[in-house]
Amino acid sequence: MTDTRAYDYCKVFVRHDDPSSVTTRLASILDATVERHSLLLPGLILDVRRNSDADGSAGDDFVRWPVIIDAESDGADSGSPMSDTVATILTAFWDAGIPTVAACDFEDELPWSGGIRRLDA
Amino acid sequence: MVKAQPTPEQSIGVLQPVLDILHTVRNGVDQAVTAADRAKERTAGALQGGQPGPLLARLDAIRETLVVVAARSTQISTQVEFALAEARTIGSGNSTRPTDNSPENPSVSRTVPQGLTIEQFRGAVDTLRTGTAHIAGELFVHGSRAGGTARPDSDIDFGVRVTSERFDQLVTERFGRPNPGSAKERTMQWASRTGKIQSGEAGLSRVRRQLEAQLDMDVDLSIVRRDGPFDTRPCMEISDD
Repeated sequence: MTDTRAYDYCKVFVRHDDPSSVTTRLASILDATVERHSLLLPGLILDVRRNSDADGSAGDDFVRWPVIIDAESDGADSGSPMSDTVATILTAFWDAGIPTVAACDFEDELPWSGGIRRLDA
Repeated sequence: MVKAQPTPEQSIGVLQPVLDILHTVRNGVDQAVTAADRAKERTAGALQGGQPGPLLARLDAIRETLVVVAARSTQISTQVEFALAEARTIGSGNSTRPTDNSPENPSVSRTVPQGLTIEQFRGAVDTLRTGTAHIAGELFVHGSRAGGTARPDSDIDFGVRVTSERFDQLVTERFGRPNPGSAKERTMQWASRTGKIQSGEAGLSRVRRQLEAQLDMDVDLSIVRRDGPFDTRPCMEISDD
């Protein structure tokens, strides 16, 4: 069984140039309230930010993709909301043709192992 | 006849498009480097059993030239950004030229990051000290607001500098033991390689959000390895008192 702390945090990398567009898309997908660059959900907060390590020649090296989403639990036991929410984000972005990879302790519970397997496919 | 000096607005009007073009050039060069890398891979694959050496050497030379162009365009961008910041400073009526904090003289510390009031900065430092006390590092500001080259929409970069040993300890604490081949393992390797743990992985998102609300600007907050790739000038040390 996965340690409950494993659901405290997940970092999602998005290959998209515009953080504002990613925020708007997320708000629509998750029906969430936006405050500055953060989306507030029950038990979770998502911060959408420009990746300071972004590099135009990143290719499939997702750690250098332009946008990151920091998903953080609010401290309550939020295993299911966290993994469900990240899975929803991944699926919606892939369906929209936006490469997305999740890096966290519960990658095995996510479709395509959080997306890293899609890079090899 | 004495030629009239351009106004700050005229200077900005000329420099801003130049900066935009330089950014476009930089993006184009990055794409060309990627294309050169791809061409090398394809050449190596297509000419297996042949003699790919001369072509690969030529592609290497092209790539090397592109990397030099990229570095040069970044240097020029930095100079133009500095000139823009100077024009904006003069245009805003603040006659203090940012020469003490120029990229050419980064060793001279500012007392307050560009664009912040003393009160804002004091408040931010209090928040930082409280929120990062457990890390036991040295606080500093780096990037354009430390160097005096920030644009109005620039973020502010705060760092917590730690020794190499403490950095390795924090990487272990924050990343744990990720599964081999996982994306999390890749992010851990990237943090070790760059000597930087971003705010999310560092558990500092809450502090970063608090700073953004206080300063009403985007904030970047990271733990940085002393003498690592991100422990660079220009930077502005935040003293303990």
